[in-house]
Amino acid sequence: MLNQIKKSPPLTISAVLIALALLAYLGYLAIYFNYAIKLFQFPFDYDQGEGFELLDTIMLGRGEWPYRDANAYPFYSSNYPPIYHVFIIPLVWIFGPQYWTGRLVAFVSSLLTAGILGYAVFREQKIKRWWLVSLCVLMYPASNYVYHIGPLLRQHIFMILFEAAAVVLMAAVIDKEEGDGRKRPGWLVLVMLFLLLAGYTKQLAYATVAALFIFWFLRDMKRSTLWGIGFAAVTGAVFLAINISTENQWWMNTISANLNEFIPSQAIGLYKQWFSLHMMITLVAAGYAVYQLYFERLSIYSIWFVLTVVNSVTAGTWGAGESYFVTAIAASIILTGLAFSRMLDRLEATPPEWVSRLPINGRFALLILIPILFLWQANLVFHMPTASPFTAAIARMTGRPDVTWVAPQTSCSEDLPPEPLPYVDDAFVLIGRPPTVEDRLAGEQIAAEILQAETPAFSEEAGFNLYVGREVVTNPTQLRNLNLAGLLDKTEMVTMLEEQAFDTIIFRAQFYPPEILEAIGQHYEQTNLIQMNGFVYCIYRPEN
Amino acid sequence: MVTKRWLGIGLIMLGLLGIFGAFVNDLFSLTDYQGIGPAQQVAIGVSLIPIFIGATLIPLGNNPA
Repeated sequence: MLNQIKKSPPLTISAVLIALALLAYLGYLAIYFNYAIKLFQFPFDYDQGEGFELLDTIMLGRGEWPYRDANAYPFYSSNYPPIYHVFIIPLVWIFGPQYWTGRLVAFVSSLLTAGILGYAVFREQKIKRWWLVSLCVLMYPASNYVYHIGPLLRQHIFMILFEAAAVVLMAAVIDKEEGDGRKRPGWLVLVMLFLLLAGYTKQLAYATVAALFIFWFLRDMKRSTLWGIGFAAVTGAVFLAINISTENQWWMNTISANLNEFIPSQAIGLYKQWFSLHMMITLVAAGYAVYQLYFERLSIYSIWFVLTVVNSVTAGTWGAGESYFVTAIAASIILTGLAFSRMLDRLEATPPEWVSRLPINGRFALLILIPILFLWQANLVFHMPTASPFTAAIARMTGRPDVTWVAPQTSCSEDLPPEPLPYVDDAFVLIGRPPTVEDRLAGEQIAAEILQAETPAFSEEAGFNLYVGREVVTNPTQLRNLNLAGLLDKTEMVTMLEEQAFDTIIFRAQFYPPEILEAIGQHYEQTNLIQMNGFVYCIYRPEN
Repeated sequence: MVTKRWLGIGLIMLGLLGIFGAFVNDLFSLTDYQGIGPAQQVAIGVSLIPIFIGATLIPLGNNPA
């Protein structure tokens, strides 16, 4: 190969471009690790809701369900299935209720998923091309969306690990079964287990379940139907068992109160952003899916891609967001790798006499084009902390500013002027900037406000109470959901607020139902404003 | 094994189901709105996609889907 490169200028150019593309994506990996390590050191909520997922883990670790009656003190219930939290429990048992435990599990799962996507491409390559596999592996954490949520204490990225494992294993099993005619029920049980784990990590995995069974139905109607019935029975039995043991709170919190309103403008905005950020891999994936639809058999990856792109419309529901596109991104990375591998394999197999007749050598052209496309894609997903002169210079070199001007987000104070933030992101959505020492000090200051008084804080985030060892009270988004579904009795909560039973109230976004906000407004007064992670936290004390 | 033809027929049926679904509210007179509303227009537009794709797949006959 080296001799070939020395003799051939196109191959030399290709090697240089591949090296540059790999360097760009390794740079993104370094940025991802930097962000993750900074998050591991940050002991408060970075994304609203992380603390409640930690609380779910603590409860499950004690053998308690987090699906409970939110009408009674401490007015807490969860709407997330338990699998992610169950995987964190051993770390919480050993190290205590630390945010880094769940963040580490999510981060590692994102790296494992990247490896699975690479394996899917590698497995189907006739001629093994490690550089192409490596680019596909590195593309996953380079996506702005994966970067933003990968190291958070949130269950979404963990669900995608099981989704990817199920789909890639299914592809391998069906390939082998069709190759030698021997059935492999043991491996299929493992596929079903991955699907079950994905679904009980987050409900959104239903799109992957549908994609897998549609693919199987196209190949083998009878067997897929029988296995589908079995899978549905097991999933339903688990659901029923949890619901009985939680006295219907599981159904009420994860289903009844989990149907938020759809905001069309949010869905359209996110579709546009997703496409503009991931244009190369999306177009190649879509092109390859269309090719398979008309000229060969549909692969599981094409069906997975189409269904998850369509299902991403659910990103338009209140409380949802960019993370809902990550499964579609995973599918498009596999299809991109397979499409390029297929093209290179075909050109490699072209007889030399045909090649000599063509005006350009297609293989050489493709070996130059593919790394250029990956470099273009790398530019589309640009995100970088710019606190150091080196990274600030890179941002300027790519024609971007070296700071982002953004006003702190506030729901309970006057609007504040924009401030320069040493972080540049083409998908800037308030997360992604690594937390700083000042953010940590601000968190400790908020926690100290709780310690100045006797009771747990009535707080929109769990982290502050957890940090000072006090009970977590309320889950504002779930109270909002239950209230909108007409399933929340606010009597006890309002009475406690009217009696000023809580010494400290902490707001970030005022997600609580209107009656709760009204009771706080009438019986508490604002005493402090503290800024953390670009958000203004408002502290309230009982009014004299 | 499902063929391209049957996949095409399935997609057409899916699209028709989508169009039918868009008018379910009207059938049960759940709203007083007259004519085709904006949400129905979107639903019809989206449903036409599988109908179009399905129609182009039918000529591919017995090739495996």
